Amino acid sequence: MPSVHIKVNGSWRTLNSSEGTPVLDVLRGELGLHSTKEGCREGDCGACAVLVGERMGDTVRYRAMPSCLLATGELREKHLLSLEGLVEGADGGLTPVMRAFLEENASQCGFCTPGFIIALTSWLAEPRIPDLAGALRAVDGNLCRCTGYAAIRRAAARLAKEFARLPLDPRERLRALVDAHVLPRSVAEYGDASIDAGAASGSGADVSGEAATGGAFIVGGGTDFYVRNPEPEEGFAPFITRMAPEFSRIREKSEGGQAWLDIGAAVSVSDFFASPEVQRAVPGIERFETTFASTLIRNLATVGGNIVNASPVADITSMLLALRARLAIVQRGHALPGTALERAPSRIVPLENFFLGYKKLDLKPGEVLAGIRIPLGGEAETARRFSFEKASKRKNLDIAAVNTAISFRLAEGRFIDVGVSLGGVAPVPMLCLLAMQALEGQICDPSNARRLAELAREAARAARDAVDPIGDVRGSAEYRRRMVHQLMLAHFVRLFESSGIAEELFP
Amino acid sequence: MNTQHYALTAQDSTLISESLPNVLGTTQYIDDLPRPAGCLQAAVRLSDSAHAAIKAIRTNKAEALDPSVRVILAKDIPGTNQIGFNKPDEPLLPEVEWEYWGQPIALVIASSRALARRAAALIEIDSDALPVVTDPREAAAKGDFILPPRTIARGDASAAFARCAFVAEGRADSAGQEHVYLETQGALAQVIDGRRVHVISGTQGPTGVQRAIAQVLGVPMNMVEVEARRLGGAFGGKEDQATSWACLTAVASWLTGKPVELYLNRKDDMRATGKRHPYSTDFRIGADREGTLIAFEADYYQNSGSTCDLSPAILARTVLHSTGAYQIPNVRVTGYMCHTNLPSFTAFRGFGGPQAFFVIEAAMDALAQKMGIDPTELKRRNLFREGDETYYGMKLERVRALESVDRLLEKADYPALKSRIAAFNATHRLQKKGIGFIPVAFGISFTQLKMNEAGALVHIYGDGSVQVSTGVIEMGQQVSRKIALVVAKTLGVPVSLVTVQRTTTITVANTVPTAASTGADLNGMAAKVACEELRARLVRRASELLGSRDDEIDIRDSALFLKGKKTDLSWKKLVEEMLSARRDLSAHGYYATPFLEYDMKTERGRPFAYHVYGAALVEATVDLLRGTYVLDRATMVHDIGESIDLPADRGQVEGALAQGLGWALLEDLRFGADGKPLSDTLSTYKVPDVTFMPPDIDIEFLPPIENPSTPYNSKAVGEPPLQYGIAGYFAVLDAVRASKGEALAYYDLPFIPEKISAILAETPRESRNGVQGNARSPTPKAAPRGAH
Repeated sequence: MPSVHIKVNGSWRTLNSSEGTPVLDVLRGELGLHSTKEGCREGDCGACAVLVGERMGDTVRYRAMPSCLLATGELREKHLLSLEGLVEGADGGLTPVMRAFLEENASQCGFCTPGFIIALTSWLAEPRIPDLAGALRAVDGNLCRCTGYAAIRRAAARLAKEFARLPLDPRERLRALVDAHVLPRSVAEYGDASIDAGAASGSGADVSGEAATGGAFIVGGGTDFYVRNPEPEEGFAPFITRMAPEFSRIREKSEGGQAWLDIGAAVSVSDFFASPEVQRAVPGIERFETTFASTLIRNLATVGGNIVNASPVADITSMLLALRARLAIVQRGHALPGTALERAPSRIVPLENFFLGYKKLDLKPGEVLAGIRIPLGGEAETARRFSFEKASKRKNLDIAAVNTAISFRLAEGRFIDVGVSLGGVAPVPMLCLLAMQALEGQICDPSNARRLAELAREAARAARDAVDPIGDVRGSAEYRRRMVHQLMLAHFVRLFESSGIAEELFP
Repeated sequence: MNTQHYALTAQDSTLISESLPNVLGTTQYIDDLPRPAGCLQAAVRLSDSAHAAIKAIRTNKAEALDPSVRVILAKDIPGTNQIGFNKPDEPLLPEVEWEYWGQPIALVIASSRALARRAAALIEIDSDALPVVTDPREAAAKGDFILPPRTIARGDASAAFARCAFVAEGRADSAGQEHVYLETQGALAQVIDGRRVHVISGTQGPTGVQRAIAQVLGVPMNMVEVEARRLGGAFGGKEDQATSWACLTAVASWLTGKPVELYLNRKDDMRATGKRHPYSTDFRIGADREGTLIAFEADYYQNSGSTCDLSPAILARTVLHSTGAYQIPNVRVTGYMCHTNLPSFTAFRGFGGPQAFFVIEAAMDALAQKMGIDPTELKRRNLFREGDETYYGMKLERVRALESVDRLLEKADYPALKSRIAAFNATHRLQKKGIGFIPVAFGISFTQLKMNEAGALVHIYGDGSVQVSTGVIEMGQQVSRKIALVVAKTLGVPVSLVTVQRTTTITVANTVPTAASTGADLNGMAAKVACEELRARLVRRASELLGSRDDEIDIRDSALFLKGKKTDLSWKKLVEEMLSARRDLSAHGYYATPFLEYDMKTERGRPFAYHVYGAALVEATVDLLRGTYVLDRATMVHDIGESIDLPADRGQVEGALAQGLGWALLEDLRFGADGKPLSDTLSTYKVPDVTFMPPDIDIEFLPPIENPSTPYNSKAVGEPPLQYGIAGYFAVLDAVRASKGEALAYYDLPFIPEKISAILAETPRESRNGVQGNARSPTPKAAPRGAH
């Protein structure tokens, strides 16, 4: 069992814990650092959030992640920060985020507080202009049962004001945050050291070879795996796809007249939505990012993991289905750094054919999902239109009762390449062929609201009649069927808002 | 829009220090404590059906897993296997049968938590299934009650309905609510010197835990010390429900001689522990032509769950808040404690109050619909007035219902708000806005009179610093800051000289749980009594030194004043002088709330020291296409008396609002018909997050008012504002009505998107109509519903 070498707060450590042990247990166990709390062990409360620093190109990036779902092996050569580390050398023993919490009385029982402080520190570290909306998004995976969030909002607003002028260059940003004691000196030291090391080796994280030859079990981000296996056996050492750089790239490719966007299976959901290539291929997709889990989870969860978890209501899967994505499968032996995606995959499978039954995949022993291919139109392509809808009890960080995505292009005034997906209505996420047929090739005249409304109704009826869902705690069968219909209409209302379609649909 | 935003200022910095360990992450909750050498870890084995007779429990496979594994069953309990005190119906571990899905059957201890959990899964249990009841009305039909029903009546309600010009009746159901304290239940027990037991418990009531441990070990209470540190949230969920975990670790420690820690994982916690009581209620309400209320009747079917626990006290609060903030001459309300095969429902902030408020607000809504008037107007017309006598015979003093409501309506510019909403709704096809309004009058005191008492122990140390211990538990309500402020103010020293100690049964004995919003009132008064005694001794000594009379001396700002003039005698010097003169610098204070009385036979009396008043308006926007809603704004006017600690009080109001809104709109506690918990994780049970809450929360506190039974005219604040969340339900309903006319009337909380979309999808003919007046006589049809 290879031991894991990481920087924990101010010092480098070689851990005794195995690679598959959740970081939360390493912190509270082997490392004896208790500021990080166990609240739920399924990523739903944020009390266990930690900051993870890693080298990204010529800088380092810090992001908050739920340590209960984070494999220790993922942290090789990375920098793990808990509250114990944030305060090292801080001005007056407090970071500005802590001070804002104190002065706005944003900590009551205090159990959730470390997680919030980590999440807001991560928000300040993002190279964007910090505003309240961004702060609230940063804590959308943190539960507080005492304050009602009002004092936390006040603390965040105070920080947004205080740090409005942070530099946007990632390296300067970190330096400024270290100077302001938001981040400790160890961040600057880690940055300098890892960038030097990177320059010397001339490649990405050079530890991945070891990781990639690791255990027999494959884990992506772990955000689904550790929910089901919260306490893995001692010595558990999975193959962590995120540690293989080849699994984490997004590239435009073409071959034999076909063009596609190649998305590595281990690309995090955050990186997927932030990718300029993805945004170019699917205009507007980024506005649906927050419908998926929480910031903490998105920073860790992978696109491939969302697919292989095979949940019938997987949100990313639902989006990719409508985009008519195909999967690149490689043989396990090929899953080595620098080769997996370069080498021709052993199979290409349309996503809709990948799900054989409830939690059953078309994936044989020895096969690994390496990448996802989103088809791109030719040079003459018109912009893709895309919409995603989800019915859940809570807007954020909730599992859908039903979800659906729609994607199409308009060519010579007609719907083409229509994809409509449905989740939560069958044992597998699926395409809704009847709704797609109802639209494919039809005239799309944005000035004819009546005709568009007719099409919307047709597609909605087709979708509703195509499904026979079961009921559970997230929604009755009747509710799911009703939502399939309503959400299909919602797609049209969103995509043809300026056409006056709402007036036609709801006179 | 926050017109009153109180930021802490520099002089509050010592209060801040109370929260300092929280933001540094250094606060030690139970699982963060350094473990004593040889500490064993525990796990529980829970039942996996709702009702069964135990035939055999085999532990050999579990114990074979590792030499450190030991399984503890009912037969191993050294003393009496019973922890129910309101009614002896709660064995610590079951011997004959289990009564709900998730009931602890065995405790497993091992060298590590993972081992203990793995071993627990290996225990084999043979059982015979027994019938399962989850619906309180089904239990009521069978006459299966925890205790006999309780009725409070005034006038002749059923006769009075004949005189009413308008009558509405219907049904209002409210689901249970999981506490979701962020720190799950736990305890750490240790046998000291082989004969005494010390237990650190995550409890709101150390004395109750001490008594239960003594009972299950068969030792006197003086052999048991129970200590409670800061809890990571509780909200009522650790009032009675923390007891079993402490008892189990104590038993395990007693049997092994080793320290034992138990820290439940979230799923075990959510399965095993009680939650807010679900209620199902039939109501009838009537008014005269002018809209003055004449009569009200209600039958509350409380789903009590498997054991008695606190159900009678919770029911008491329901039937003592049946008319909400309204005066009604003829009242008849009956509460039934229905025994079901679900976890024993228990205390949760509001404690039966919110369930009553929801019913009366539903009734007022139904009546306003009947009359075709604005519910806000109907409510305002019937508020409690000064000198009113409640239906249980309490004369109300210092009533602030109308004051709160009028200030709120003025603040919100109610007529303009109404027209803004009407204008929005007229121009928006796919979205509708609505408002909900609730006035609140919430009685403060434990309804069990004997519980309204507290003790405190105050020491002044030789360097002038002060330490106070009370029976109160700090669980995030920031009561320690209030106690410290009361002590500082009473002694005349800066609060920086005062520390509040953790709570243990060896410093203050026979305490009541920190509950019923009374923590600061009772314990603050006890601390004040102790400080007044100390102050008298200090003043006596100062008079001796200054050669004056006691009434010429004042202590403030750590200095001694003689006839208003500052002297050279400082606080520190005076303390030294006390020691030199061999005077006692410690004092115990005791407080019992005066003037409380209640006759359970006649159901008449003065059960509350005072009422807290307030009112709230919530605005919501419903998405008609998706059946979803967003909360736009909450405006509140609230009575906190003369606040001891304004930021703390503000936090209590905001936090209570969130829990109330969560209960009303989001938190969906479900059980299958077989009693299986269906929402036993945080991925299936959603509580408010930062985006759920309205972005605009505006709280105005009413000006101070005299309130003699509390320290310095303060008022209890924990529970009353939770009722404000109910306005969220009615805001969403109002918005739905903007689209569906008079649809709805089976009031069913939480108002989740599925229910909203179902109403929106109904054609007018299909619409369920549970609100019916005199003209339409059939009784309301029982609507389909879940297991609550």
